Amino acid sequence: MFKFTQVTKQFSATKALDQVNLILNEGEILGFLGPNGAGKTTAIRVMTGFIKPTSGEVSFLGKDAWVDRAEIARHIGFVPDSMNTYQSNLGSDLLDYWSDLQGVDPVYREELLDRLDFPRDALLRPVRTYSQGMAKKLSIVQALQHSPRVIILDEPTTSLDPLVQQTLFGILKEFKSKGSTIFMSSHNLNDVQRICDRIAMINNGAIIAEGNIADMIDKLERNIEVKFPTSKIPDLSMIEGVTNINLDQNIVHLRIKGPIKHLLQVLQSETVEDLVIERPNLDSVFLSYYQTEEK
Amino acid sequence: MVYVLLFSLRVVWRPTFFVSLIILLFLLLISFVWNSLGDTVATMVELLPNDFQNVLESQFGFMPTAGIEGWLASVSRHPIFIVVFTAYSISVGASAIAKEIETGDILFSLSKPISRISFISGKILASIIGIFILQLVFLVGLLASLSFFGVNDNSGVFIYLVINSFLLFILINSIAVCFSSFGNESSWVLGRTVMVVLLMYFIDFICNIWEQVTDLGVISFFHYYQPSDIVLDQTPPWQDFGVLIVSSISIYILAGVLFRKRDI
Repeated sequence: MFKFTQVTKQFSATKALDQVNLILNEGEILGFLGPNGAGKTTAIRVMTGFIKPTSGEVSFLGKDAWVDRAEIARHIGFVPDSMNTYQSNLGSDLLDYWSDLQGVDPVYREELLDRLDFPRDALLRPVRTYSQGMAKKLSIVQALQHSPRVIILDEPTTSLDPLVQQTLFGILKEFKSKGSTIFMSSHNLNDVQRICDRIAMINNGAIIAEGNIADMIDKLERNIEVKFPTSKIPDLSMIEGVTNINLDQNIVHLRIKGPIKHLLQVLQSETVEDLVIERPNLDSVFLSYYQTEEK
Repeated sequence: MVYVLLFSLRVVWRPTFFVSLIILLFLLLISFVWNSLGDTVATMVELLPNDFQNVLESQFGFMPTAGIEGWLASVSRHPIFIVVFTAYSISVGASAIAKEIETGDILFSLSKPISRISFISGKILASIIGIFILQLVFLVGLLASLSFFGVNDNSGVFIYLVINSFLLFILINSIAVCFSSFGNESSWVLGRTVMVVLLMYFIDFICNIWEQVTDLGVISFFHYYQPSDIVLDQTPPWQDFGVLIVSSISIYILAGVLFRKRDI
């Protein structure tokens, strides 16, 4: 649906995006990860037509995100990273205003307010009286109330308590099942692992990894600890995939890349007292890519 | 554009109301004082040093004298009104775009299917309506103040005066909107616009008191706001109106072009 082609954005001396190529496929949830200042928000603003790329192009179904921004916006629901908006206005007035601008009936407003546990009387209060969590909920409602085809979220879980985060993920999954496509930037790796089909990682403005989360995890080395009952320990260093091995009395610490079936075959013929296999998670993927980048 | 206009009006109605109230009160107060002084105004002015008289003349276009003409010319260039109208015009202009960018509000509005030109047009129209309301209140105040003088004036002088004032402050607003269209902070916009307004006022002031540079006065937009001429001639200064209108429209168009091209 969205396609970044060689997108570069230069701000004075800073290259915020550097030759970014990225595709958001229809019906998927893509997690967009990166440390602070990596270029996540710039990428989102290029996507939503707020920023013109210095070179390259972002297109939505063949339309240019910068040139055809207003037309593309008909299909989009956008949750910005912060919400300091129109402090003296009532929540309900803001939702009406944004809905009027969208030009589509807010068919999901009531349901979203209910599910996000947004107090109705708060809608009749000025936004300046809202907590950050409530303001975030309002921001989510304005983006989803018209049932958009594409949902773009910039750090959506910031300021939300775990229960509401859970509810939000449920809502997003439902939107996905109805055919919506979701692009979500986040610092929170657990969030991304829970909900996203695919991830893209950005650092210093460049995409450093992209793919299916399970595949990326499978590519990582696993930490394994094998405890033998005696100090007579078999040689495990010759096993396929073993990259690092340390011996601590009768305990062997090793790292293995790829399938562990070869290790298990060797251990079958040995007496093993304990075996601990640490499965990598998204944190490990994230750290492995960013540590490699830093080096 | 209509939704942006209506929403922006809702945002500015409160300051507009309070500023209107202040204008009305000051107008009545000044008129009351002026009327109380009666013919002593002329005597007081005659007693002032010549240089001071020159400064007064440069500000009001002619020597403030007692009576309705002096009052009208003085009130329409009275610093309090110039300051209040200028402050209002600049602040609504600054909040049109730059403040929205500063707070991030604009991300919500422009993620909806509305073109940037429609957005800024709605903001400009809201500013113009706000300034129009203030000028309308000013006109009502002028007419109400006439009761102090017991005069029924149908010459239209008041309307010409207010149109001239309206156009001047629209021009000031257009400058603020223009800075706002490419600025990121409302305080930056306020600073720049105030600087331009003060510079223009200074040029007009210098050109009024210093004969050698009088011709340079045309570069200041205050040159096209001469209430004393309207009072004396009793005719509308079409040329001044034209210059102010054309300048404002040009600057608003420039603001639109800059806003359309900028990153947010």
